[in-house]
Amino acid sequence: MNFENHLSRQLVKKLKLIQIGAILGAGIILMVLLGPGLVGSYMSYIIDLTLIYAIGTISISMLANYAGIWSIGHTAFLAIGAYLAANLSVRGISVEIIILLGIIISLVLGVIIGLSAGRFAALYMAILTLALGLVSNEIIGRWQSVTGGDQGITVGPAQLFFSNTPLDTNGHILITIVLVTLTFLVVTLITKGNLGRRWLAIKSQRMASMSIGLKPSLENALAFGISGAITSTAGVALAFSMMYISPEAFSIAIATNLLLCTVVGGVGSIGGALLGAMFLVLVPEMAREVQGISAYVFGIATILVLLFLPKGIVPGIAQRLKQWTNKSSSNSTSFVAATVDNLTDSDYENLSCLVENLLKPATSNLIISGLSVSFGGVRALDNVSLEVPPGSVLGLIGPNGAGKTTLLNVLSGYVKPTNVEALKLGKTDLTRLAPYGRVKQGFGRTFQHAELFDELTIEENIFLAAQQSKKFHNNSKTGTSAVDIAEKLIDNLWLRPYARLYPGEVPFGVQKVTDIARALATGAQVIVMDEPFSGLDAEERSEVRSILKAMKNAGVSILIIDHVVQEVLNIADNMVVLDFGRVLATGTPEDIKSNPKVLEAYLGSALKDGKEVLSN
Amino acid sequence: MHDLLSVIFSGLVSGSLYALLGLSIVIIFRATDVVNFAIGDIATIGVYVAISVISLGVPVVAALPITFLVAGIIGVGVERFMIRPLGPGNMFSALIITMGFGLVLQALIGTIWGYNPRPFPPIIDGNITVFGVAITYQKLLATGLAVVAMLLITALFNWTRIGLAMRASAEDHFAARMIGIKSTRVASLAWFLGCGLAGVTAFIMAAESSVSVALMAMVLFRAFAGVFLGGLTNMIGAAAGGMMIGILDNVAGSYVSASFRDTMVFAVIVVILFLRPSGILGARGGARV
Repeated sequence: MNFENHLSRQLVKKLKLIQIGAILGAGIILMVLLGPGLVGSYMSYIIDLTLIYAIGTISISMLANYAGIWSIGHTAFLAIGAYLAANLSVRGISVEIIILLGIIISLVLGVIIGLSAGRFAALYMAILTLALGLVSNEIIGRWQSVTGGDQGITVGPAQLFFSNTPLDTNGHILITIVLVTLTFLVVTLITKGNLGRRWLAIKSQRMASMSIGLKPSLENALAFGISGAITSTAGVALAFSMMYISPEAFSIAIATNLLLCTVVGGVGSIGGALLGAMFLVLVPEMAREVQGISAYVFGIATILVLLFLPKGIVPGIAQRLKQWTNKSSSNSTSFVAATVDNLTDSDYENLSCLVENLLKPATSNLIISGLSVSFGGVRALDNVSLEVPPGSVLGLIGPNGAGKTTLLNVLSGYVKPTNVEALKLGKTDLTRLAPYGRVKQGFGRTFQHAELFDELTIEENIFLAAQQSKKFHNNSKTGTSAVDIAEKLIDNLWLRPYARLYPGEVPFGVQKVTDIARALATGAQVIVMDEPFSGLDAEERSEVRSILKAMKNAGVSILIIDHVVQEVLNIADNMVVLDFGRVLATGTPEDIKSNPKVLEAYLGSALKDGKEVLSN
Repeated sequence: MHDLLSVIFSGLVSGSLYALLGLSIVIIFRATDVVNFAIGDIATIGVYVAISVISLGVPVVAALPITFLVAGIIGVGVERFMIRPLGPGNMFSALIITMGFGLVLQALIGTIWGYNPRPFPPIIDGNITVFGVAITYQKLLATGLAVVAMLLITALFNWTRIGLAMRASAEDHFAARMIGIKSTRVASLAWFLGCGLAGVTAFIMAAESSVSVALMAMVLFRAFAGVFLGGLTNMIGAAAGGMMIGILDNVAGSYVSASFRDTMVFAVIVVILFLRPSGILGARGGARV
């Protein structure tokens, strides 16, 4: 409840502040502009233009900061809005409908393009957006019946839906102000809400994000589409404010400047976007006389800012200020790790109870049979078969390079098997499911290096996983909300002192426990764990040990690999030993301990007669 | 059929340029993880310097090595003073800083040489008819040059110590450092070669028509398209992708519509990405990205 309060309070506070700020700001600007004689027409033109481009910079900034996609072609969306406005306004269609159409068309186009490149790394996406920008130029130049070609096209009067008289210049500015206010509100809602959290998760850990059921390509496409849709509204406002549009407004040069100014102002901040837009409008205005001056200014500013204030001017300065003000009180902020006292029985009981509530007892066999994976010429896995009966723990050990992690990655769906006879959970054929589809089947995964979402706090990391699982398992047996789940996990897994910190600020052991919490929050019935004990100290190991014990008691199936063999032997019901991609031995932990082949693989062939060596 | 053959042939002729520039982009990316958006402008300024030197009385033949050297040296400077200080793992900052630098170079060209296109002295006159298409010797020479440059690069990367070191470093920066390959030297060399080769592309482009600030815009788009098909880390892929784009561009331009060439190239890429997300040549989508 504390968590919920915290989250919602934070959300409401931030939202309210920005909302009030934006509306007030807009109102003041409005009054100043409309107040007769206070602002000259040139000044109001500049303000208008700045606000219009601010819509563009904020949507580029949102896309870059939250989804990690850098768009060099956003002028295409600007053009969609502008040419729609020009063509439809002369036919007497109202501004609202034009805006709506622009949003829809841009959203669809953005999602389609996003889907085609979203499966790639974000870098390819950037190049594809450049292509989009260039292509839009070609279309504008050639599709003369719609765009007027190089000559440009005149925009009709702006007509509101519920009014008969067209708007005048002040009315055009009003459109801009309304749009920019709405944009800031929408962007704030998106970025502070679930969508923003999902995008940040995918941006920082694409693989781990899939393990909690997110679909990176779809989310990337959505981010691109939404960002494009917002930008198209700026195009509409631009058309009505200029009353005439020509292709230069959407050239690659403008596209470049738009991105560069966003970066200079600072990505991921509304202030940065505003500053960027101001820069974009004011520099060319002030350097009208000499050709090329703005290019120098934009180019050099970009280089200097990236070298000396890599986050951009506004976030960069904010960060410096924060560091400066924190310096005096830095001793108190340096975090003292709360030591977990020795686990009491009641601690364990609570934990056990929680895990039992979260996880479903496994009902089906996990079967792998005849699995081979090759990377180039290397056979990472060679005809591996194993089985995990429901509710049992299978320990998987083997020297480095034995193919253990590859096996887990095949199970999670990150690596496609070269050859496989069967990969099934009960009757479900897993090979046909994408990683997020496997999560739906009740697959959980933890990682050797925790792979937490860097830009989300510990509590948000767990909350996001719980929220995704809510989507998958609507009728989960506990009626608790995602917030409750996260809350309980934080309390019972000793994470409370770290809940509001970011992964980079907490010890590695805490990161690993958070990773396990994330897997628990997904409500899995089969959990695949990659070296949960590695890199932990004795105390942290005992924490993980009791979590594992609770998981076992809850009846989930566990597949665990680790180099801390003793821990694995203690918890496992059955063992599989891998060596060079092949199954070397299987059996109970007792069998494995005394298996000569296993000893050889671990101690090396030079020590064939182990006893002799030991006795020397 | 005969007609199609000639279209494909001229596609290969222009495709060789896209392939060469694509190769330059990939060489730089493999060594330093940077997509260099200034590569076109760096190459263009190389050509401008070459023109100025020729006008001082130096023979036209010297223009090519001059362009190569100037572009290469600027490339080394960019890597040393703008990319390296950013530190590793700043892929997008690096990309954007090159965009900014490209802008500065464009303005510089405008300030020094003016914004109007400048003629470039022709290298060779006359033409020859191949597959029913009249091809100027100049164009043939250009294609030959591009092909020779690509062969030289292949030889460099396969049979020389430094080439092998660059390939090793591209596979695994860390491991390469462990066996004593200086990553900074590899980075400098990659930027020198990449930008120098782009300079060769710009020289060929200029020799075919004239020189202007936007000399490389069209080629760069198509080279990127080729890289898309072949993969950012795959040298042969990028070259083959460039060739394919050349053919595609010409076929689409001749049979569908001459006015919407970029659009069609783009549409085909989007469709290909849908059908085969790993690119035509199956290069993984930049595993390191």
